[in-house]
Amino acid sequence: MTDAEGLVSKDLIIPRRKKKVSKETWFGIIAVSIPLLSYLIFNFFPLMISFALQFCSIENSDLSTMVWNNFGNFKEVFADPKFYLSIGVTFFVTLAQFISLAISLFISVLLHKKPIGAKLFAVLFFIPYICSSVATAMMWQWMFNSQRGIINTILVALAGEGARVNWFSDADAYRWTIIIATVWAAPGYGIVMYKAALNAVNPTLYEAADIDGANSLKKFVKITLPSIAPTTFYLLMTGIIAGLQSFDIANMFALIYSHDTIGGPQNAGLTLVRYIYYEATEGHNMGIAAVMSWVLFIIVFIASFINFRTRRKWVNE
Amino acid sequence: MNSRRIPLIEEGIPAREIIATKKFVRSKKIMGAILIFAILMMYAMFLLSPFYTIFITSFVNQIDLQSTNSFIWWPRTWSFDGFKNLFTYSPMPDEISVELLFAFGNTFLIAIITSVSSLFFSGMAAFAYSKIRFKGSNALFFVQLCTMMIPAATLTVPSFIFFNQLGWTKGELSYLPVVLPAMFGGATVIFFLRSYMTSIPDEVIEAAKIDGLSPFKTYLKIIIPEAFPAFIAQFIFAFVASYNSYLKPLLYLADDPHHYTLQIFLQEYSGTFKANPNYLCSSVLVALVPLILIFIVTQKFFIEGVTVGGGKE
Repeated sequence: MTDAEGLVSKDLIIPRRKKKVSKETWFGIIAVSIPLLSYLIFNFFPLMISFALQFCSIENSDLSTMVWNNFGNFKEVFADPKFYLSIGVTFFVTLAQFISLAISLFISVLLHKKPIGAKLFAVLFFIPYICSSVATAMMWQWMFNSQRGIINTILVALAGEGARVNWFSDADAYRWTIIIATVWAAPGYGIVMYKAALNAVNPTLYEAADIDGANSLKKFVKITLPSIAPTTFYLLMTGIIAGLQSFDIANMFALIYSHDTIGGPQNAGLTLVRYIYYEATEGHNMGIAAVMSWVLFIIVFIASFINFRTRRKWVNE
Repeated sequence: MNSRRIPLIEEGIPAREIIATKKFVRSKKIMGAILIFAILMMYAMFLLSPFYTIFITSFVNQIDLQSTNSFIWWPRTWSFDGFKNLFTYSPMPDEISVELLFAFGNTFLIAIITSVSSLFFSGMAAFAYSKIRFKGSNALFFVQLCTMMIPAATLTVPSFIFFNQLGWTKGELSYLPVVLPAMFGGATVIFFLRSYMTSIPDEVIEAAKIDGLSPFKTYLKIIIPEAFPAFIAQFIFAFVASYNSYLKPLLYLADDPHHYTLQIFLQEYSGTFKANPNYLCSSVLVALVPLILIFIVTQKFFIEGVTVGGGKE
């Protein structure tokens, strides 16, 4: 780091600095403290309360009624088959992030070959990403409509009435509606990131490979993939983190289904965050919600931590 | 194009063969280009299909919709019933109010207040981290970065319990849990602005100091104008994120229709008019159009804001 160097040279050049230091320091400390304090009050403090809440029972969401309940919340959560189901669903829904990553790599490589209309394509491909998840869910709800949806209409036209799929009442189909809607929206981000990464690959590497007579597949595997590996890793980790926190589309679809379950047919779309949200609001089980939040926290934290640690290796600072 | 191959002539290969090879290479290239274009077109069609379906269905009338058992590819007659209902709908029969306007008003107000304010404080922190040397600065920056590792969704319920205890989940106060925590800056924005600000030469700041500007005035008059492109990029990004945010407004603002943001309005509207696909589709269309317009106008800045840190909430 050049920090130590800078410190020495500055102090040598401007010896009068000492006088002004206090005012500047005060400004610096205040400026830096505002976001930190805000985080402390609005996020970290509640997180600590929820930590304590895991071990307590509580009435009417009133914290003054907190009473130690001898790990009752944990017993309840870990004996709840829906809890394990929701973890499974969460991991399954995260699959959408892997598919999106593969699509964004494939599409951005094609875009990098500068086909006709590449610029227009690039703008177009980003649009789904900025659409709100509520709008995305509503659009796909209509696409997947079992009677008059465009998808079933096409399926029936191609393969007859037997091909009609009840997307919102068949558990296996329902799982995929969530994946497809997510995969529609997500790759835009990856495409933009990969585009920047592909542009940054050192062109002399390709020239050297040309001289060696490497074919394009070999060039892709030996040069392109390693060069954009940091981006792949970053997208993979942020994708996993986002996937583990899936809520919006799962929640919207669950509201559409709204029968005797809280997460679609046979709870096939009950993600962990959807379950936590349900317990905290309609269920009024704050203790249960706190325990599940912490389980989610630990799962996501492990993924985030790996991302954060390895990030330093390739972010040039 | 293939100028590098010309020396082949000297190697004694007949000219006709070279031309044939060139033709082959060129036709192979054209085939490749067509294939790439075709794949991209197919992907574009996949992405556009939801927009097409909601656009068309918005203009189909209710009777036509109910009389068939398949998707209507093109309206027989163009009906505006969906839009009429959307622009007059009020959940409170005794009030003459248009719910959609409340939703747009709340959304824009929240988005602008939170994005401007959080940018202002993030920028100030970024200025302090990048240009002011004080003890503990590096340690605090590390702590600030650590907040990025705590996933947002896991904080939602704990915050809900906390704000509920404060009584901020009912009435007008319920705006506070949505607005306040988002007002004072966050790690990703600070990180982005800080790396941009390090490129501002120190001499500019030294000169401001000699002119007798306080650090705060330096921030206002020197740093903000110097780093303006970075601020714009982050503003657009924050604005869109706020416009689209769902979980937080759902927790705090879904009780009173006057408090709805656009996303909550959409959700409630889709519940109320389950049986009217044309109503649903026109509401989605109207909610999407402003954002897509903003994106097309500002796409350069927007993509810049995305490439450096940040993602969906």
